[in-house]
Amino acid sequence: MLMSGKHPDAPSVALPGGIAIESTNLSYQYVAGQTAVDDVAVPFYAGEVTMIVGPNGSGKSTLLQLLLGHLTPSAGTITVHGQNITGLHPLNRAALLSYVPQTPQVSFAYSVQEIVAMGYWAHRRRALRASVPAGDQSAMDRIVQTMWDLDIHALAQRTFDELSAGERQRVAIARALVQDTPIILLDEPTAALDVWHQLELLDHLKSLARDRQKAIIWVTHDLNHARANADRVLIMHEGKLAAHGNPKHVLTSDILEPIYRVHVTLRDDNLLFSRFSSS
Amino acid sequence: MKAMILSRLTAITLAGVFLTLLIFIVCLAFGPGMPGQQAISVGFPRMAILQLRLTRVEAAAIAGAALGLAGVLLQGLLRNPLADPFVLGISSGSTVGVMIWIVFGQAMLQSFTSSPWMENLFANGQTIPALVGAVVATWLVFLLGRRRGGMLDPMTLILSGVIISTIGGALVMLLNNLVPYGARTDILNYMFGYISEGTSHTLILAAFISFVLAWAGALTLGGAMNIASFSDAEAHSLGIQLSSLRLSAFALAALATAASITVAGPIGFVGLICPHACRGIFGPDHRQLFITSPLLAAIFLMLADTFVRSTGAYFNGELPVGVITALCGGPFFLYLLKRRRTWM
Amino acid sequence: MRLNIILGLILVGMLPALAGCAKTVANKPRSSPRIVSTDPSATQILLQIGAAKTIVGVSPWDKPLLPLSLRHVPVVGGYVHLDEELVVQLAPTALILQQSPQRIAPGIISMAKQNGIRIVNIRINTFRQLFATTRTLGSISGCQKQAAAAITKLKSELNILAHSRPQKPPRVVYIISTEPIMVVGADNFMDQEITLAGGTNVAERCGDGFPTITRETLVRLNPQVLLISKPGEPVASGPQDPRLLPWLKLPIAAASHKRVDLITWPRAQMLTLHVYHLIRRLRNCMDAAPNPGGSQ
Repeated sequence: MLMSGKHPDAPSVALPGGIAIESTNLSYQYVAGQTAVDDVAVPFYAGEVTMIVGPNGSGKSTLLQLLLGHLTPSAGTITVHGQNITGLHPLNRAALLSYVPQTPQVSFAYSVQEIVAMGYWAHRRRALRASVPAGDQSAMDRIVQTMWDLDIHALAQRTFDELSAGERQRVAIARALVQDTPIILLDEPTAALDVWHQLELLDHLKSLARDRQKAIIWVTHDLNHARANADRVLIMHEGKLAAHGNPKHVLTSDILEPIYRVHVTLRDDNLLFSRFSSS
Repeated sequence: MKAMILSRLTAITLAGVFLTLLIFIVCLAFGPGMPGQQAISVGFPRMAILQLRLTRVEAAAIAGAALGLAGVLLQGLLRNPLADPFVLGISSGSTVGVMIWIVFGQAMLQSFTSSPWMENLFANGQTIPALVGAVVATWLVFLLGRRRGGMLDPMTLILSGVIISTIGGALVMLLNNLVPYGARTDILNYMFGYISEGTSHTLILAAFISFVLAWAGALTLGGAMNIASFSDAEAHSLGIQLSSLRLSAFALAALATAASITVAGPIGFVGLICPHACRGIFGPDHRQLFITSPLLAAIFLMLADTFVRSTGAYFNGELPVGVITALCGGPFFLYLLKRRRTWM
Repeated sequence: MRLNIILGLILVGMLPALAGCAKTVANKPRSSPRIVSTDPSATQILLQIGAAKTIVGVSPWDKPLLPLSLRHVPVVGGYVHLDEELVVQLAPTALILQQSPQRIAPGIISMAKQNGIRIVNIRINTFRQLFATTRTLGSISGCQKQAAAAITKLKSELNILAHSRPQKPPRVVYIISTEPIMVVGADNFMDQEITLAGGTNVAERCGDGFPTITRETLVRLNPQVLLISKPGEPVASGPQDPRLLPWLKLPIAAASHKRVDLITWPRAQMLTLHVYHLIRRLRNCMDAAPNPGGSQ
């Protein structure tokens, strides 16, 4: 059912297993004195699905916005494919990083197809600036293909505000995939999806990581999902990097219990949670 | 897809320009008749009168087009379908400018009359103070609308606009008590917006050039404005430099609004409704809106102004053009609202 | 909108319904009359019949027109924001309004009743109403004799004017506000002034009161004399005055004969007992030989 599709004009990818994006000593304060991200140094690898977990307010989404370059770090740097993200031209940055928000927002009644096509805008602009053919026909094919992949082709002419939350999320994912970047940042992309679409998306992103060496960075609340599907897990706690590594090694009751303040037990390779008794 | 969009855009542009020119010529053929003998005169009049009509229809076309453009820019910039140049306090700024001029400036007129340069500059009375007021208000809204990091934030911007508007309204009431007896009609008439046959050619040319510059600038922003309809982070990820895009859109909107205020004063509703109408008819793509909305607004204001210009005999004198823009625009707006389920 | 109403009231006068002019209550005035006037014309008439001493409160529009000796008189407000507390403190015998009776706030009526203040609602939109109002103001200020004398004087003055009307009255348009152009239409005292000054108000056909017209209509009316009211402004400095230039460029007879004039008299848009002097000035504008620039 899922096809990885043909992407004829994909930008160059990082070496298999190489570092796609990396943060060093990264800190961010929304207001002076309130540190949301505190001295985080972590690499993200091409060809891997990295999942970021952590309790509410632990700095997951802030870290994602920093990696995206949308927030400017208070301290530290982010290096994408060897370049400092703050020095990147917006169009070049859009060729490296794409982003799927938790709840996509659109202010006017664009059709699904228009929105998905906007993922291609930066590429077209870059081509214009470099005076090379933009390859619009292949782009159109890619847009249609991606809408098929995400099961939204039937909605192509519907306007965004007419869609359900899950459909909206799939449109935002399609837009990011049309952008065809080596690094894809997703902020709880499956929150509004039904089980079937969750599994489809997972397969699709995994195959993008494996077959096309993309770095998938995925913020999630579902610890079992992270344990089962991530190549690497990153646990955030109070702005700091609490643990980082193989999910089987990182998602353990020793590490999770103090962070989440719940009992964690492992049964049939599944994490089970229960509240501490009041005594 | 590109070829398809371009051909559609070209067709719409050509049809729009043709229709605008046609309406322009049609408007020249209508005017008030001889009082007491004929209510409306239809047909092309003698040269002396045709020149007056030409001035006024030109001014209406430029003012309308500029408002239509500013409306699209501001609604896109603020991601708010209720935005127009006047929500942002620009109109109240220009009114305050005019009132300050009437209260304090005219007292100084006598000292100016020794200088022919100043005389010429102020021969058009309220235009320059209005422009200065609009620019000052815009600048204030801009300064207040910036958040940490210098980026314009839609919500802060619109709130600043509303607040500047309110303060401007209060200043207008305050100054009203200081205005000399007899000058108050000037202010009132000014506040409603008015297109005059007496507008100087220099002003019309200046407004036209400002509008064309703003238009040319806006046409390069179409694709980026589409993407700026997403949340900040999404737009950023898609390759938009939001801070510079917002700065450009705001500056272009201010330039277009200034062009319109120069020749017509603050005429409401056109800048609000024309972008909506075009969105309803042609869809929300800014690349199209930047062409269709100014043209539609020019047509709308030319027709509305020709109506008030020609029908004074039926209304015991000429109506303010704002009455017609609101009376015709309002129901049309409601019709569009009804036809489409949603506007956001 | 409220501003509009205020201005409409000041400049245009009241709704043309009431012909009943001044409405007075037949009370005997108390020992010494104390008058609060919220109407600039009424204040001027009081001054002109020698009742200056009776004025204890005025409207904000009166301030610049008061003689120095009365500049200390407190402002009680106008048609909309009447400071009732101040009115009560001033303990007037009469409160002058110019408002249609339905529009007088009930609070003002009851305040007046409780404090024994007589509400004198006047209307001055025609010369006939001017005479009636002057008589009323004379009686409430105790200056009946002066009022009667002033009326007689004005009537005889107007008589002289009426009998010396030119054989061929010039076509006149009298502009009271320039952007947009508001002109003196039919059925008001300024229309009567034009006639008495020896002109024909061709803008009468544009409507009653003060209709708004376009320059095109102005060109079609083709006045031989164009008057532009700028009360309180500096006198025209000559044909190069920026306030005259745009009008002198219009294709109308008044422009080609340089018969475009500014009327800068501060009371030019009010009807008072000094109207004779204003009309004389207007007549100068009309029957003077081609007169470039200002007339005053």
